[in-house]
Amino acid sequence: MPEKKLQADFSLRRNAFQLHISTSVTPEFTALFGPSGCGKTMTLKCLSGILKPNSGFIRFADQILFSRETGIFIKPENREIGHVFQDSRLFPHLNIEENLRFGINSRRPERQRFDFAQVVQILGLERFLKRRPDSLSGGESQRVAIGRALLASPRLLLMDEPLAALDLPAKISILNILRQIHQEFSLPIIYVSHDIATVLNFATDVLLMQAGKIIAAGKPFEVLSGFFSSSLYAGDVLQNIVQVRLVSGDRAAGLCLVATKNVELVLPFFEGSPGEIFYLDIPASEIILAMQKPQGLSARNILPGRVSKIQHIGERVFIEVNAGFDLRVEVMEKTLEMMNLQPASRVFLIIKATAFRKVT
Amino acid sequence: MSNISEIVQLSLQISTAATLIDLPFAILIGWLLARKSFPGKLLLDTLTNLPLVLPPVVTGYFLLVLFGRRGFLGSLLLQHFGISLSFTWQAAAIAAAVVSFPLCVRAIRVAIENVDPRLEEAARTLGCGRWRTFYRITLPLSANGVIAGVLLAFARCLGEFGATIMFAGNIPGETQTMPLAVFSLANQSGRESEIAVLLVIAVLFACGSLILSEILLRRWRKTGEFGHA
Repeated sequence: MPEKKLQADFSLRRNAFQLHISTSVTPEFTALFGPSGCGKTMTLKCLSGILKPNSGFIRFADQILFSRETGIFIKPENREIGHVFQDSRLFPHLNIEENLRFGINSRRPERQRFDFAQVVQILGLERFLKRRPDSLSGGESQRVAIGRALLASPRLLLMDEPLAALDLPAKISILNILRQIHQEFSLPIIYVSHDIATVLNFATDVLLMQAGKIIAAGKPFEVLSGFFSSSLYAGDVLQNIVQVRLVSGDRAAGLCLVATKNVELVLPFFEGSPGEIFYLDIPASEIILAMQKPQGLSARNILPGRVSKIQHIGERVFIEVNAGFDLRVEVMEKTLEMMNLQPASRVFLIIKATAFRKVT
Repeated sequence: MSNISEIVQLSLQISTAATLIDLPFAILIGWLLARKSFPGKLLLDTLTNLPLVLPPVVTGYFLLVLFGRRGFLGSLLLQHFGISLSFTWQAAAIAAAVVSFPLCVRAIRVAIENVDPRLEEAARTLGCGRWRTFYRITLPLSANGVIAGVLLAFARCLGEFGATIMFAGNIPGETQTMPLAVFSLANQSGRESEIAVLLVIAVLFACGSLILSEILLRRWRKTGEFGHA
C-alpha cells in the first residue's frame, strides 16, 4: 500500500471560533477525539472540501487539496474523499438502492473501488434496498450512508460521529463494520468520536483535539491517558469492549457460555441463538488480578494471562493484560507495588459473571 | 371578432409560450435568490418582483418602448433580423411572461429554499459537480414546488390584459386572448351569451390551474418532511 499521508496546516475562522489544524499523519483507522465543540466536524468538512480554510494548505497522498498560497482548491466532487455525516443525509426522493448507487460513476467503471453486492453484504443492507430512507432507524440510515460513501470509490473515508441518539450497540456495530472495511480494503478511515471506550477499543491511532487544535497524536492509550487524569474524565470508568459468540445457554442454571476467538466466558443467562455475535462491556475496575490460580472462588471466570503494558495516568494505574484477548484492568498504585507486577508477568484475571454487561 | 374556440386556443398558445419563456429564467433566478449571496441581490429581487406591483399597463408600455419598432432593442431586431415583435402573438407571449414572472420565481425560490442544502453537500462529496447536484438533488426535491409555480404563472398568463393590450394590441386571431375578447365584446351590445361562455371557460381554467398547483404544493410539503428523517 503506498504511503497515504495526510499533511495539513490550515486555519479557519467562524465567528468567534478559531480552528487551527497542524498535523502530519498516515491515517489507518484513526479516531479524531475531543470534547464537543472543539472543531472535529469543521476539521472533517475542511478535509472533504465542504468548507474552505482561510489560510494554509491540505495535502493527502500525492495531491494538494488546498493551498492558499498557490490558490489551489480541489472541489469536494474531485477529492475522492468520502464523508459520512453526523445526520446520515440520505436523499429522501430515492430509495435505499438508488441512494447507494448515487456516487457510482457508470462512465468510468475502471475506477470503481468497491463492488455493490459486496458493500451491501458487509453492511447488511440486502433487505432494505427497496425501502425509503424515512422508514429506516438511525443506525440503519448510518449504514446506508457508509455504503453510499464507499460506492463513490473514496481514497479516504471521513466519518462524523453518528447522532447522539444512536445507542452504544448501534455505534459499536457500525465501528466494527468500519474496522472490517478498513482491514479488507486497506481504506484509511478517520472517524470522529467523543467516546473514550470506542476510541480505545477500535482505533489504531488517535488525533486528540481541544479548542480548535490538534494537541496530540499517536496510539490511543498513550494519547488519551492525559485525558483520564483531567478533571473532565476523572470519574470515568474505563470500559473493555469484547466481541463474543454465543456458544450455549442453560436457562435452568441461569448461565450462558460465550467465546472470544480463543477464550470461553461464563455469563448470566440471556436469550439468543448459538453462533450469534454480540459485544460485552467489562469495566476495568471490576476485574481482579491474582498471581496464583485461585481456588474455591465464587467468581465464574478465571483467565490466565500476561501483562503486556502498565500505564500510569495521574493517580490511576491501568494494566493491559493479554488473556487471549486484550483487557485493561484498573488497580491501585499500592497493589502494583505489592504484587510486583512487570510487563510479561503471569497473572490470573478474575471476573464475576455479573460484571459483564451485554451491549447488544 | 373570431370565434370562441379560436380565442381559447390562442389564449392557451400564448400562455403556454409565456410559461415556457419564464421557466428557465425563473429557475435560474429562483436558485440564485435561494442559494447565493452576492452584491446586488436585493436589486435583483426587487427587479424580479417589480411586475407584480407595477400596473400591467405600465409594464406593457415599457415593453413597447424597449421592443417597439423604434425602441432600443426593437430597432436592433428590425435592422439585423427584420423582426418586428410588437403587435404579434409573440409580443403577447412576452408580455404575459414578464407579468407572470414574479409568481413563477417566487414559487421556485421557496421550493429551492426548502431543499436541505446539507443534502447538496452530501451529493458533492459523492462526486457530483454543482450542475449534476442541481438536477439530481435540488430539482427533483423541489419539483412539485416548481411545477406549482409554473401552473400559477400559467393561470396568471391566461388572465393577462394590461401589458398585452399595450404591447401586442387587441388583434382578432393574432393577439386577442380571452380577457381582450371579453373587453371587446363588452363594448358591443347583444354579445352577452358569448361573454358568458368565455367567462365560464376562463374561470374553469383558472380554477383548474390553481387547484392543481395547490395539490402539488401540498404533496411537496409532505415529501419535504422526510428530508429530516
